[in-house]
Amino acid sequence: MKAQPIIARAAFSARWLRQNLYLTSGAAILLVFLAAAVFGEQIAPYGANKQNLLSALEGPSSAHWLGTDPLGRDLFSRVVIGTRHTLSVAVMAVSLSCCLGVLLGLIAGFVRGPLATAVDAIVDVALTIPNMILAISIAAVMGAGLTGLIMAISISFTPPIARIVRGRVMEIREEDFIAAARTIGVRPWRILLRHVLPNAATVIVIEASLQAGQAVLTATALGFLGLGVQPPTPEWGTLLGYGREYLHVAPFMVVAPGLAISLLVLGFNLLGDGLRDWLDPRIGV
Amino acid sequence: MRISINFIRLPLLACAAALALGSPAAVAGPEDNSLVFGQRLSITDIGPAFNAFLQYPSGYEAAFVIFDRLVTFDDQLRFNPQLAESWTIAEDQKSVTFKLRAGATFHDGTPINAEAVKFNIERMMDPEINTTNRPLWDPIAGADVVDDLTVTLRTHEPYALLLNTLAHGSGAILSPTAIMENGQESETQNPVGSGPYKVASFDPGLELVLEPHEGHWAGKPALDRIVFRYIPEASTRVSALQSGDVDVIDGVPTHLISQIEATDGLQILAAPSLRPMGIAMQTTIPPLDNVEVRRALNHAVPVDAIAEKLFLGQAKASDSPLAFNTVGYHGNSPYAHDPDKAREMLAAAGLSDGDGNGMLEFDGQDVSFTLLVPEGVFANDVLIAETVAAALQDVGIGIEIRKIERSSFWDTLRLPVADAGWQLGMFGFNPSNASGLYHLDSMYSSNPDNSDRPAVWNITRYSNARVDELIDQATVTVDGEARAAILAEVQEHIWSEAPYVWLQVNNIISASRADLGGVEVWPVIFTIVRGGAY
Repeated sequence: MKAQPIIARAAFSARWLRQNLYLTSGAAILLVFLAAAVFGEQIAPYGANKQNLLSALEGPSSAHWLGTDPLGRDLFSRVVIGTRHTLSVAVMAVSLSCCLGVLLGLIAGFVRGPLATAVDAIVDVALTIPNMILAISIAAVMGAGLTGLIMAISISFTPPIARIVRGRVMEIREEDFIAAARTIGVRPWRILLRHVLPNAATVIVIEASLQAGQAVLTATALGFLGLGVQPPTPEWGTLLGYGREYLHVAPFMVVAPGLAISLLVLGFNLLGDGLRDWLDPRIGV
Repeated sequence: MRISINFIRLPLLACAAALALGSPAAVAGPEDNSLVFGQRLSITDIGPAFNAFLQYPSGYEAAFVIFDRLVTFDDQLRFNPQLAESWTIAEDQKSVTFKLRAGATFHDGTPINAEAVKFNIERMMDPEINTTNRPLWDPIAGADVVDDLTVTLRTHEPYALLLNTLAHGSGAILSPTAIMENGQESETQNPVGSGPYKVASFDPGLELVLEPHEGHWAGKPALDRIVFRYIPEASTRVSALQSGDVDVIDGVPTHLISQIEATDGLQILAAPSLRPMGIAMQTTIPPLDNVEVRRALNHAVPVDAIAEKLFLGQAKASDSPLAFNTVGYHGNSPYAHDPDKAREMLAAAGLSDGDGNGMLEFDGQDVSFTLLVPEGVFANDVLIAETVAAALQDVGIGIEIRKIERSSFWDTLRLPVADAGWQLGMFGFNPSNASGLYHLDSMYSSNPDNSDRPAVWNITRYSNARVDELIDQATVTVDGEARAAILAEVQEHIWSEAPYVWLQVNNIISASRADLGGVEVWPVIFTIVRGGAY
């Protein structure tokens, strides 16, 4: 059983990079976005909310690479500065849903009895509700805002993680080394933390990175529907929603946030797939 | 390898839509003799009572087709007879006698006579039933049946706006039989009037279908069907008009006018509105209780730029609490856009940046306001809010925009100050009876209790005893010129005391098929399809 495969395999070389093209290109894309999220204000040529009504709705030019919106704000700057928002929502939402999902998955997979059955039943029911519908309902109840957005996404993303972790835990539970640990009197919670969890880590990491991409989509979709954040926050989905109103006269308004969303999701998906190929070749192809 | 393809869906769809919408085409002809009206707000309530005609203006637009009134407006807001053929004003100016049209019937067959009119007038006088249009109906004392087709309306004092009230949506005459049988609130979902079209089916919030009222006094209506359909998205409405799915739309954004003009077979219907937009300030909350602070905010906001750049010239900066075309309008000297002057005035009012963080302080705290704004209720509402926020931030006032769902917007505006959660709110009052006096009375007469909900629409809690006195005086002044002189003074007081950050008066822009005649856009922001015919 490979308990700590991640560190053991981290021997970087040109050949390794080539063999793990998905992983490296995904990581490279994400690094660019991470830089934009951290140094947004330094990278952007204009302020996110710097208005200039005299240069409203201008197409892409050397002064405004991706054009301007109806208030004359620079779209490139807004997209770059908006990265922080979308990225942090995705990361926070997925972290939260992982914590919650792992907890529920461990209980449902490891414990036997009414508690596990109850958790199982709740997860089953939650899984029947489409993610997006669940997120919209939660966001509608909690109102527009960052907290509502993160809660909506993390709650709607918890059930799939719980289900995957549960499956893996049930597999591990039957392994000989768990039985061995039991025989020598190791306490259940210690078995769970020291033996089960590390062995389920691979599955969790892969699922989390794939879900991050979905979280970006859900977050921007909620913004698109007007449930995301309050203006004038340059959230990508909100920018896309605004742009839709102007499709006839300024189609470039949807291009900037659209490209950003696609690229970021592509980055997360490549990373997730690459991680899976690397960490768990058995389920790769 | 499993790469989810979802990630490209949303942006690609948007791009595909961009291409699909790019090329203007001629619209197809109507397959049946029907009119479909794509509205930007949904209809949830059609009756004149209780929370009349929600949502605004969609409910009114339907009501003007389903109901007749004693008198009506034309598209220049002049009075025309409708159920009343003629009227005479008594010498003491405290009563008006109406002669009714003979042979008119309600949709349910009930004849329209003096008794039916009396029933409806008395119903609207009841504050328990007619809750939202009090200033219109409070001056009326009663109705008397003279004979079967003659009815006299009495007022407490000479009432200058009696005809405006009767032409207003709440002047709708409903079938008393239906109200007695189905209950007071039946009208909200299943109204029985006497207009040229009657309700065939109503799905509140989605679609209202009307069919002809064969027995209408003006003859058989021209159309076989009228459908009011809720299409919230502006670009979707325009596409639906271009594709022939709908025949009339309202709420055309200024940037899409050229798109419609470029399409063969479509026409733009526009009129300057009577609704001056503004940012309401809660005048009981410090530092907004200081008139100098309110004036300073007016100097900080670039209204001319909003009118020219955001509305592409389809708007004009206000210079009065009333719109330019409202009866009784009186112009004032504008607040010039001058951020430096605004900063000086704020400093003189005791707002200064002591800690150097770029924000002004008052009473030791950073000045920051919540700006309430709906999305898609007023033209360019969110964009204007962002412009105002940036302009106020520029002079050192923190602004947090609170975008609110459109269905809860009106109610949030009218919350008691303590629960409201906003200090600045976007609002524009539409004088739906076309009267400047009604407009000023509804928005600026003192509230009986400023800590409670406003009595009508005085959401700023503005209070000036002289203004109250003048409005009372104007209400009993029947002579038009004398009344205008009184209203001019009222407007001067309100303009200079600035309970609002005055914004623009914009055109109401609707559009329809070019072969559809008889659709009117009234300056009171209603698009009226009652007379529509191919």
